[in-house]
Amino acid sequence: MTAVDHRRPTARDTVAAEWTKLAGLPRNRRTAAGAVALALLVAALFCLTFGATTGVPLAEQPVFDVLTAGLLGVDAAALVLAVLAASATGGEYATGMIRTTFTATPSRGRVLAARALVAATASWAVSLVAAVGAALVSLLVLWLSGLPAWDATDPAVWRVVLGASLMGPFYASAAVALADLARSTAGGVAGVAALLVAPTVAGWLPGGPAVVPFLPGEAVHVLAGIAGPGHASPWSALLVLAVWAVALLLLAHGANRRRDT
Amino acid sequence: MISVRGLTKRYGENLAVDGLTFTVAPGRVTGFLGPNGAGKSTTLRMLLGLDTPTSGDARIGGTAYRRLAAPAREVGALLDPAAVDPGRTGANHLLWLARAGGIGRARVDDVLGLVGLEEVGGRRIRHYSLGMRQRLGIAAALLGDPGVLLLDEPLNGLDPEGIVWTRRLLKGFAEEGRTVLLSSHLMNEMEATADHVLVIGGGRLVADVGLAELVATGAGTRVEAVSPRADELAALLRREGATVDGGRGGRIAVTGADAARVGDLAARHGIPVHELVPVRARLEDAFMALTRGRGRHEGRTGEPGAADANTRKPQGRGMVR
Repeated sequence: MTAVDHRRPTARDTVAAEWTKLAGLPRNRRTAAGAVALALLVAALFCLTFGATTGVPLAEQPVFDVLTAGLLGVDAAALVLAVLAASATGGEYATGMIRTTFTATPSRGRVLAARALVAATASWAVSLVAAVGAALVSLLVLWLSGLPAWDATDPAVWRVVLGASLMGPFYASAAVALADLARSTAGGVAGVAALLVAPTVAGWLPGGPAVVPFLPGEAVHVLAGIAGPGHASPWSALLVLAVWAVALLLLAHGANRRRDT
Repeated sequence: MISVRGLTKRYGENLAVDGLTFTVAPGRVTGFLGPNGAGKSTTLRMLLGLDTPTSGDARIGGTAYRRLAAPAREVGALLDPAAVDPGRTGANHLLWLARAGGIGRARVDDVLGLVGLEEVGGRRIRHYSLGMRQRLGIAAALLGDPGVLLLDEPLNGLDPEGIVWTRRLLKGFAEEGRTVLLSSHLMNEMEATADHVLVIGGGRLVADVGLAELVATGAGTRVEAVSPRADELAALLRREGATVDGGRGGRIAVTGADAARVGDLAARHGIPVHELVPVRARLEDAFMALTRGRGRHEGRTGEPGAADANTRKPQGRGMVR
C-alpha cells in the first residue's frame, strides 16, 4: 500500500486533472485526429474548386489567396474542436460527473479556468497541425496545377497560418464557458453558433456594422487573413478575442459559483 | 467527525431539509435512514459543498467542505456510481481524481486492488456491471485515504456478495477510528451494517440512536405460536396479562410474554404447540413507527425497502396488524 502524501492540491493539479480527463477519453483523441483530417479535406476541396467558385481561373489567382482558401479548412477543424470542448464540459452535467469534479476540487473558478486552459491549449496544438497541413495542401494543389508556390519566407504567410490556428483555441474556450453557463453540450454548441453568425446578423441591423469589428467572428477572419484590407490590425483582433473569451468565462463563473449542482 | 447545525434547505415552497442538527462520531458506522424524499441526498450534497444551505451549516472536522485544503485526504464521497463517463476506463477515472487531489499515480492501483477491480481497471466503464461501478465509486472515495467516508446508498443494486464485502469494508474502516456515514432506505440492510442510526423524515431528524435502542423502541418483541387449540391458549395468555392477536389457522401473535412463558403455560394446561417463534422487532418496524406521518412522500414510505423486506418475513403475514 502506497502511503498517501499529504500535499495540498494546487491549481497545477487541477490542470493536470482536466488534461487527464480530456486526453484520457479515446473518443476525444479520435475526434481531434478527425478534426485534422477534416481540415485537410476541406482545404483540398476549397483549393481545387477555388477557380470555379470565384469565376477566375486558378492560374490567374494571387497565390496568397489560394493559401487563405486552403486555410478555410482550419475553420472546419475549429468547429469540431468547439463541439468537442462543449461536450467535454456539458457531458459532465449530463452524467452528473460534475458533482465528482466539484467534490474533488471545491473551487469552481479553478475548475473552469483549468478546463478552459486545457481546452484552449489542446485545441491550439491540434489547430496548428491542421493549419500547417492545410497550407501544405494548398501548396500541393498549386504544384499539381503547375503553378508557382507561395513564398514560404514571406512573414505574411506565417501570420495567416498562425492566425488561422487561433480560431480553434478561441472557440474551444468559448464553448467551455458557454456549456458551463448552460450546463449542457447543446447550450455550448448553440452559443458558439451564435458567436459565428453574430457578424452576419449585426450587418443587417441598423448601426450593426459599427460593432462588427468588436465581434469574435470578424476578429477571427482578420487573423486568418480573409477579411481583406481596411480591417483592424491582427493585434487588435487578438485583443478582441481575448476579451470575449475572458468575459464569457467570467459570466459562466458568476452564474455557477454558488449554484446548486 | 461530522457536525450539522440547524441545516435547512428550501427549494421554492418545498422544505427539503428542515433544521437538521446532528453529529456523526468516528469509530462506528452511522446509518442515515429515511424514506425516499426525506432529504438524505440533499443533506449529503450540502455536506460536500455542492448545494448551498438556505440556513445553518454543515462541517467536517469543524471546517466547511469548500474550505478544506485537501478535501480528498479528509473526505471520501460516493454519491452516484452512475455519474461517470462510460467511455473512460476505470483507471483513467481514478487517475484524474488522483491528479485533482494531488495524489500520486501509484495510489490508483492500490485502490483498484483494494476493491478487487485490478483486473478490469483498463476496461471502459461502459462494460462494468452495476456492482463494479459501485466498487469503482468506493475506490474513488478511498483514493485520498480519508478519515471521513460519506456514502449515498452504497448498497443499492449490489449482489449479496457485494453487500457483504461493502459491509465488511465499512466496518473495518470504522474500527480504524474513521467516521463512516452511509445513507439508505433499505432498513434490513442497515440493520446488519450500522452501529448507530440517524433517522430522518420530511427533512427533520426523527431519531439519533444506537441500533439496539432503535429496535427496542420499535414494535416490541413478540412471540408467534401455532396450536390446534390456539383460542384456548390465547385466553390463558390474556389472563396472564399478555396481548394476543390473530388466531386464524391456529396462529397467534403474543406480546408481553416471552417464548418460555408461552411454552410453559401451554405445557401446564396440556395444550399442544406446533410452532413457537420469538420474533425480534425489526428495524423497519421501528422505522415505520418513527417516520409515520413524517415522510414527504407518504405513500412511498413503505414501498421499496420496507415492502421488500416485509415479503421476506416468513411469519404471519396478514395477521400482524
